[in-house]
Amino acid sequence: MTSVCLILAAAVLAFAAPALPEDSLYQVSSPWQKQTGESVKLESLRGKPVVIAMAYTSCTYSCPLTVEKMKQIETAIQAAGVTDYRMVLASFDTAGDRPPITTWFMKKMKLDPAKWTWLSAADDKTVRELAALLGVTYSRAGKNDFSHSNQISILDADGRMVATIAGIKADHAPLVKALVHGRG
Amino acid sequence: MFALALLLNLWTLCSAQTLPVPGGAINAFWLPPSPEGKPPVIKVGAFQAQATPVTNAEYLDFVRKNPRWRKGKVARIFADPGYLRGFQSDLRLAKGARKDSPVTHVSYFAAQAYCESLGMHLPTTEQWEYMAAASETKADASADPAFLERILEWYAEPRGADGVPPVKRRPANFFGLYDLHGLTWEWVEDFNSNLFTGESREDGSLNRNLFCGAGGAGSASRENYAAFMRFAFRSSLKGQSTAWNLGFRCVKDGG
Repeated sequence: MTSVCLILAAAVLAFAAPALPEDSLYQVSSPWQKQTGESVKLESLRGKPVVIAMAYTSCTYSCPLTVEKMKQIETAIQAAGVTDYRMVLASFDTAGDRPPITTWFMKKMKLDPAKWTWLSAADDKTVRELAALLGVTYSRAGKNDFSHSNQISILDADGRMVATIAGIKADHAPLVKALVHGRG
Repeated sequence: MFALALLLNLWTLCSAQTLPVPGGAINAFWLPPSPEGKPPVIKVGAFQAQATPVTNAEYLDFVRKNPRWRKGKVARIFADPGYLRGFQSDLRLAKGARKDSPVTHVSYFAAQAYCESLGMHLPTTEQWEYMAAASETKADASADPAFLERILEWYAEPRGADGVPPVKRRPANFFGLYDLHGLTWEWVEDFNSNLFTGESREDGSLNRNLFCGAGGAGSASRENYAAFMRFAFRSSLKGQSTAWNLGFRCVKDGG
């Protein structure tokens, strides 16, 4: 009887959390923090498609434009009838961006915490790793200043990168299509 | 048995020899010049570095202890299909691959995991360029034409038929470090920090204004062509990339 229960339990577990695909970004286990202060791994984003970009709160020019672009993407995916999705910003700035600054910034930018998450990390290595996974390039250009490529990507529900646009002015239609239809 | 295990551990520790690299300053020729046209000078704190690139034998030991980094087990997100091409199978080197040659065909994620397993990390660009600026006799030979010429000659050499030669065949540099030039190119921790990649070109003139400090064109000391080749090579890489001539070594901050 015990063994049957064990097998059943194992089956339930296997069903509840199928192994991550080999090409999932969620394979990494580095520590991030949500704007709420909660410590999370990237895998916590699993289960819904994700619109993700990297930015930092003290960035005055390109980052607000990136957020604006993400809002347009959100409007478009809602218009396509998709309600299950996450909007994620991950910070370059390990020194400046922590809760409650990230919470404050989200309020200022009017980002709904039910959909939007602002991730920050304490360790530059964690940020460097995510940038490498997404194909984002960046370097510190001053105390609270970064040079970085502007990129917005779509991850599917298992954390596979299915589409990317580079540049603030790029057409975001391919991202919307990838998210709505689940492919790039 | 216990003594044997102890000996093995000792051997592993000693073979992964690290050397103290004293702090100093480096001409950051990859950054835009000062108003006087000179490269900015960056201070580099003291650190410890592995004397040679990580060898096939050392990497074999690492994958023995860390199955997730074996050739047949590694998740695709961490390494492209060329990963450990110099290995015949999970725990065997390919025929002809030497134990004392630098391990190559390793991705950024794999190299970083290796270093972390030793409590170390990949050198930053600054740390790597600081180590690599030393000739056999000078801590900073980055303005020595003969030294730069030798590096360029190596870059121009065709790939040897016998794969990558063993480490320590050439004399150590001023810091006692081997093979920063001449055998392989090496991963740096912030390889993805160069902004002359496709992404930043996407915005054209916009980014030129925004990130005027980022490109190579405005950089000082253009004669160090070898260094620009390294920067161009690094910016062509992704975290999953592997190449037959790309290896790594680890460092630890503090003297």
